[in-house]
Amino acid sequence: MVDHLFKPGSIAVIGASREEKKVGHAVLKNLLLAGYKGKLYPVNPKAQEILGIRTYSSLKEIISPIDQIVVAVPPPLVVETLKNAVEVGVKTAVIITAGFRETGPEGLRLEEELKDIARKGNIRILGPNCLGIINTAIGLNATFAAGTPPQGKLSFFSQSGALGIAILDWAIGNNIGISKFISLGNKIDLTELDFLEYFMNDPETEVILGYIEDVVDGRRFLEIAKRATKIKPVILIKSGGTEHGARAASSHTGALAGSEIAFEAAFKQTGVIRAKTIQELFDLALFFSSKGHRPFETQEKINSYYKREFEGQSPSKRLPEGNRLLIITNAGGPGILAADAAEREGMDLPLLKKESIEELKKGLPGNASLYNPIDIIGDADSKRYRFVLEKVLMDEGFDALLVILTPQAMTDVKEVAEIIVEKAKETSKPIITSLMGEAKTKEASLMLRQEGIPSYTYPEVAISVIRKAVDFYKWKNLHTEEPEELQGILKNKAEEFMNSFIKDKRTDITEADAMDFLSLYGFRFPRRSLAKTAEEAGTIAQSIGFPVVMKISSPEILHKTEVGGVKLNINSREEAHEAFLEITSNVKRLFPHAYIKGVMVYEMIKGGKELIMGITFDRTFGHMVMVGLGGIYVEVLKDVSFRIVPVSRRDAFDMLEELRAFRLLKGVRGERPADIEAIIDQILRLSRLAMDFPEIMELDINPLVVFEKGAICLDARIIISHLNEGGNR
Amino acid sequence: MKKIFILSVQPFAGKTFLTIGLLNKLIEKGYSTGYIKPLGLTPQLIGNSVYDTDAVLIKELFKLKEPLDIISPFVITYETMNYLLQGKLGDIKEKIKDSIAMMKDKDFLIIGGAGNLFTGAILGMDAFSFVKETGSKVMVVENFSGDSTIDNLIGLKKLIDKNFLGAVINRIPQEAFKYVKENLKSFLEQQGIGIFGLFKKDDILESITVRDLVALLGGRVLCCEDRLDELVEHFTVGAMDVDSALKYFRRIPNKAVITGAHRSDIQLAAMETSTKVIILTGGTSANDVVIAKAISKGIPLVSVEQDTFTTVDRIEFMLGKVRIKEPRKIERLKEIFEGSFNIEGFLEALR
Repeated sequence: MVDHLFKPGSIAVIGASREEKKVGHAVLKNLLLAGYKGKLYPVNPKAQEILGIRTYSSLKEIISPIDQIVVAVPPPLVVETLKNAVEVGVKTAVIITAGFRETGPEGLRLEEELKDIARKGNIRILGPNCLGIINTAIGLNATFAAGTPPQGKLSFFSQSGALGIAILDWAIGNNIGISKFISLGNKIDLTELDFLEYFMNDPETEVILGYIEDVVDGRRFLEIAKRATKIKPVILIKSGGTEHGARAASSHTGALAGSEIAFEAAFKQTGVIRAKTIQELFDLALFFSSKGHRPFETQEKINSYYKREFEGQSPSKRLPEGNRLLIITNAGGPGILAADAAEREGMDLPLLKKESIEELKKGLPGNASLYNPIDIIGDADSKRYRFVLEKVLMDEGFDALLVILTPQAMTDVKEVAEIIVEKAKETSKPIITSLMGEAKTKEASLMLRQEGIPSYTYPEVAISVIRKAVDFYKWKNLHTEEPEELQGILKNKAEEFMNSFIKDKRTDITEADAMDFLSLYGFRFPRRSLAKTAEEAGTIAQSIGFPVVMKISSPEILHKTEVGGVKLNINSREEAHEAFLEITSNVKRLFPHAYIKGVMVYEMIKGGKELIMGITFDRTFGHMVMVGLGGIYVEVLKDVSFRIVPVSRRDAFDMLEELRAFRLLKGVRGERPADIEAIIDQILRLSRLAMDFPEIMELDINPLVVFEKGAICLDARIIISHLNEGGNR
Repeated sequence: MKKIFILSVQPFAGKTFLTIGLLNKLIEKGYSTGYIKPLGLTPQLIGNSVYDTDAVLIKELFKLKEPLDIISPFVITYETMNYLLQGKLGDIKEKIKDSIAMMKDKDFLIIGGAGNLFTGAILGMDAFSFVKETGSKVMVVENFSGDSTIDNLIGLKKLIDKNFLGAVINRIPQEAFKYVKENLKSFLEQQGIGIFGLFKKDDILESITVRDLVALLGGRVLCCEDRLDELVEHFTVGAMDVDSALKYFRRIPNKAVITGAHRSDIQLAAMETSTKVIILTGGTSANDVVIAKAISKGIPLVSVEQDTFTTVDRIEFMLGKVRIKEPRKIERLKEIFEGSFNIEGFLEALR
């Protein structure tokens, strides 16, 4: 159906207008100017002819079949129009008209009506409240943007119509080719998911770009995006990542998007390249759409890519296969800036082979730097660029090449650019350029882009783009992991526990209840027992073995330490006795009415490294697993990472590697490393738990103490929902 | 006729709850059962006379034949209080005794107490005097308050002595229920205090309708007028960031969310969880998109003039003092009574 939307054989423009300032006029004009190849029917009951085309008074007056209507009449008339369209068998409707949900209850009611008509009449809708649609291949520009971009291989969907206009104008101004453009509007029918899926399979699309404020179905987004990114780059801007941004987005769309951490995790887990700014979106689009970096040209090639992937071969020749970057520069300062940027982005600056360096030495001035960055000095002419490019391209010891140029009086910028184009043809490695300046470099820069060599003004930008290309290459070559079978899970028993929590209408499961429940999923806790008297505490402590920890047990007291409800390092029967009296007195004094179950006596765990882990629930993507550095600095350092469930073994490892504390886990200054495998096992168990028990809305294990061998949880808290939000078991 | 006086140490312990529950049980068992509320504290105007609100409700609920003049013989109002202070009121005690006498043919008469132990002392009708003079048996409803519940009940038993019939314990937190049932109840029974019912704290009984809430706050309803009879069980303030708010909101069912009119994010988060009304403070209206969403979800938006602090203050004042009057609550009350009240034990104790 989406195909019909992009390739209609005939279009009726409902609300075509003679007045130039009106949307209905702009749309018709764009269709004409873009050279739309199908049949065009302006509909306007008051006009005979608009822009030289015969006009119809209504849809029903048109005898030939109509594939698509583009609607630009006031909101109340849209309903009638859509009904007529269904009657005459129109397949798709692009509703540009605004004034629906975004304007309040009456608009919402009209919108609901449209939805209903569409569902019953089997007609697909783009919008309403959108900018329209473009498919350059057939001259379809049913938008009210100013002009049509050149034909190309970028396809773009945008939740903001106005941002779409800016992108189209950028494409026109920079001669960037666009294949398809979609403004999503209120998304009452077709959404970003439909277009992501369509662009994924569309042979005319090589790079997918998108601007989103939320996604309609997080789970489906994950599923489609994961497949799409294996075929072509998907570059998205997701706005509303800050508190104020999110608030602005919510009053724009009337919907709450998933949290920023969930989107971050979603992009990592699907290989979506995230652009943080519009500038970055442009920069990345430039790289991935450059001819030299086009991974596939036809559906055949996509198919052959799948075949090759099974054979374990690298699918793309023009993506950096690793993070080794070679920099050539004629300017010292920018070379240093580039080196700084490279290190910050985690790129490696390898040295060339000894032989290559010797070769370089022969043709470069004595004060040139032969290492990386290779500085060929400010007076370098085009010959010197040619020489150095020839020599370095013979060396295999890098994955991508950045050529920097500043325009000195003796630099022939144009000639250098031509040499780069020529040399690029001789290598399979990606070459990216930074021609710094404006007046003297602009023309050469555009020429490079024309020839498929990405060119940026600043080296930092070039390097951040390369970094994302390296990550994309890695992602494409990862094999999908199957979920693992975990040992020692007693799901049935755990279900009994959960059912009893729900029956008792409990939302907060803490202390022994949480521990008993989690033990059924293979989480280990210290040995423990509840004491009701001081005497009993002594006996229990003795049987557990000293030292022990004692904690007040009361569902009403959450912060036990703060009220003197915790005693550590108890070493004798007498101390246990005393601790019992002290803890119960402290609590009675501060919480005279709290219900106290007793005092819990625990085996005391010493040593090890403290982590926290848990489960949270995101409104868009569902359950996520979290792991982070534990201890008293948690709140300050916020060293945590998240993934959406199901979490694979590789995801779990990535989560740990992302932590700044990872180095601590690996051991510093001669320490033995912590048991990483044990942590990964616990992460996988949490993921399993979240999948098996969607009623868990939140779960904290704090701390998880990890030893050289094994790990143990010291405390846990679970929040469950009775409202079936997380889904059914 | 057996007279049963419903008493509590503190006000708002659940006297109406016990009264309705008992009446229902006894009538169900086929006993002819009457009801009076000798001393009213919450006046309600019916025609041109003032009666007690509970009395009006219970008469209606059980279709009692006796006129309100008998069921609710006296209500303390601004006016009657002034007369009392000036010594200008006739013999109220006699009037009440007449009411009781009218019921003499019934098997049982449930007498609803008012306020606390001393309410009515001005008329010489504090609970102790009343019970002694009328020869009523006392059923105590005790709001669970930890260990002091034990003292309260033992103390009352000692003061009321042979007229003490038994007690029910109300609003027991879920976590403490096992303890009350296993330890506290048996201890009290050993002291000769019959415990005929243990009632858990119940969200529905503690709830208030959106309509009553709007009235309490003097709010302006922006949408979903047809949802004002829904019951609000909990109250929350949304002043945090939206992610924290969601976590918090999810844990609280059937709630009212109080937040600033500008916090569209919090309002939308509330709509994604179990919410019965959203109260927008500061006197401004909500964003159109948000109103549209609220309509589609059927959640009333209510704008109030006062700020969040004042709003919460007013709600807090009302908490724990809500009346039982809505049909859903009555249904719930009967359900709870059915499962947790030992009617046989109660009747046995009366013999």
